[in-house]
Amino acid sequence: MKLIFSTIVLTQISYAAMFELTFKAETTMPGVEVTGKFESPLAINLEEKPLKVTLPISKLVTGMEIRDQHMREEVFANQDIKIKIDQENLKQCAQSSNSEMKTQLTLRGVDKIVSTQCRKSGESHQGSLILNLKDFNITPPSKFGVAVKETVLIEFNVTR
Amino acid sequence: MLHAKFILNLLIITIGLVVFVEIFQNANAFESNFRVGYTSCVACHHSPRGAGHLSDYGKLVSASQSIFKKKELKGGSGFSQGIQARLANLQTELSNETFPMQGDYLAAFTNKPQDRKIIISLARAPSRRESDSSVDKPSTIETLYFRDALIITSKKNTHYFSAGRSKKNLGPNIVDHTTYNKSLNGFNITDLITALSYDYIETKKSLELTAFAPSFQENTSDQEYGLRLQGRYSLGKLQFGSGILIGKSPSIKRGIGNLFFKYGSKNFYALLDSVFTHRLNDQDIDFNQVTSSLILSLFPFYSNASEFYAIGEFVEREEPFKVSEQRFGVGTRVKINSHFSFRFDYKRTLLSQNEEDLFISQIYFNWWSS
Repeated sequence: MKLIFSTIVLTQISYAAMFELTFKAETTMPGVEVTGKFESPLAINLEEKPLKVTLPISKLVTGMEIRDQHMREEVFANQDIKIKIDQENLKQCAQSSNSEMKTQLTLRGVDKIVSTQCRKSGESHQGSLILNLKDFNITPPSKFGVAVKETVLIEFNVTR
Repeated sequence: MLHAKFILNLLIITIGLVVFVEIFQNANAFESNFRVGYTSCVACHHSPRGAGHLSDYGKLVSASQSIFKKKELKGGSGFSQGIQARLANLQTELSNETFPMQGDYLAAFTNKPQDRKIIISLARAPSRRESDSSVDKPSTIETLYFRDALIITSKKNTHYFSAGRSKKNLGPNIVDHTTYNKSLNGFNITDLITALSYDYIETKKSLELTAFAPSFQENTSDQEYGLRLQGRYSLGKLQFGSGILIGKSPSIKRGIGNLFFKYGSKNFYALLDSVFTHRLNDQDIDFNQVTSSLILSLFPFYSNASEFYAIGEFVEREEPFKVSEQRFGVGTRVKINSHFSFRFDYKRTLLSQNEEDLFISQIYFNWWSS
């Protein structure tokens, strides 16, 4: 029994990984840059077919509460961000020091296949993409003349 | 004789200002707002160099950084006005004084699409300063002055041209610079200049160029003309900057070089700022001075409404006007709502053979018309 339990735990550990996502958006006002992330890394199972990650929008933080609130409500309409990656794409990323990975991204209910630059770095895999908000029917948020630009840099990190 | 008088004046000015300028530090939020993505002042302030009148966006940011927040504001008016006032209490071993520290009326006229504006800050010199000034029993009108009176035009939110009355910008840590680098006028109103300025601002870098003349409220011997150049560069969580100032007044010529580093993260902010000054006075005596300051701030709660900080300030000035001074302090700032803030500072000053403890409590009041 103990052996079975240990095997299950070890198997789970070997496939378990932590997923982190950060983003950076420039604005139309020089001197204002919005960087954000999700409060704590998400535990994911790399063996899941396909790999699905749901980023709870309530955990999105940018360093200022009012900005967080505007982003959650006005940009994402309080809908979680969803990512789906096929195992084939994931393996390709895991085996290569620098590759391109197709990822399905859902923002505000709109699905899109996006191309992600992916690279291996030690025990972790890092990726980045430049996203155009308008591709997801999102109007860049704006307050009193300070507006986020249409393109946003997204970076993620998967650590075993 | 003249030499002795100069030393005496310098000593009086230094000691007076050491106490006074401890509380002159303005409530400029910008420097620590670097940690939440603000690499320059221009989004939140009408003036590209910050301080004073807030833009509509700045009012929203300010109102949201309080314990009792406002989450939405009206805006978009071409004319806005405000009042900034401050009540201070100073306690030392020998004194306990409470006095109005600041009372400013601010107005801003902005045209659409906001590429031209006029900003005015009308200030009253604190009553405490009148007794230190060279004017006996000044009338109310004599205690009034313009802190800002600027015409600003901008192009593509990147190029800013300003003309008029403003403040001399000597670096990010205003306390130290005002203590040791300022010149005085009749009411000890200092570092006010008549200037032509150009600012180039991008998200990662900025450049400031200023040609300045006196405010013409100074004593004649303190009327300084000069040039100022400063640049900043941001690299992720780090920002560094450097600048020079060359100035000449009838009593002194000076050259200043400053260097600063900032680091900002979610709950932490640090600023290291050093200034080297070379002076040559009208007695042909030249001397150097180095001032440095280190500020470490903690923002323990996610909100920006409260801050706890430790400050170290260090001054070394050469003979014949030798000063060797260290100040160590801790403080806290709490923004209650969009109108009221509270700030408390404790500082221990070590000056030559003397030590002094200083407790400063301040209440800030802000009101904006829109």
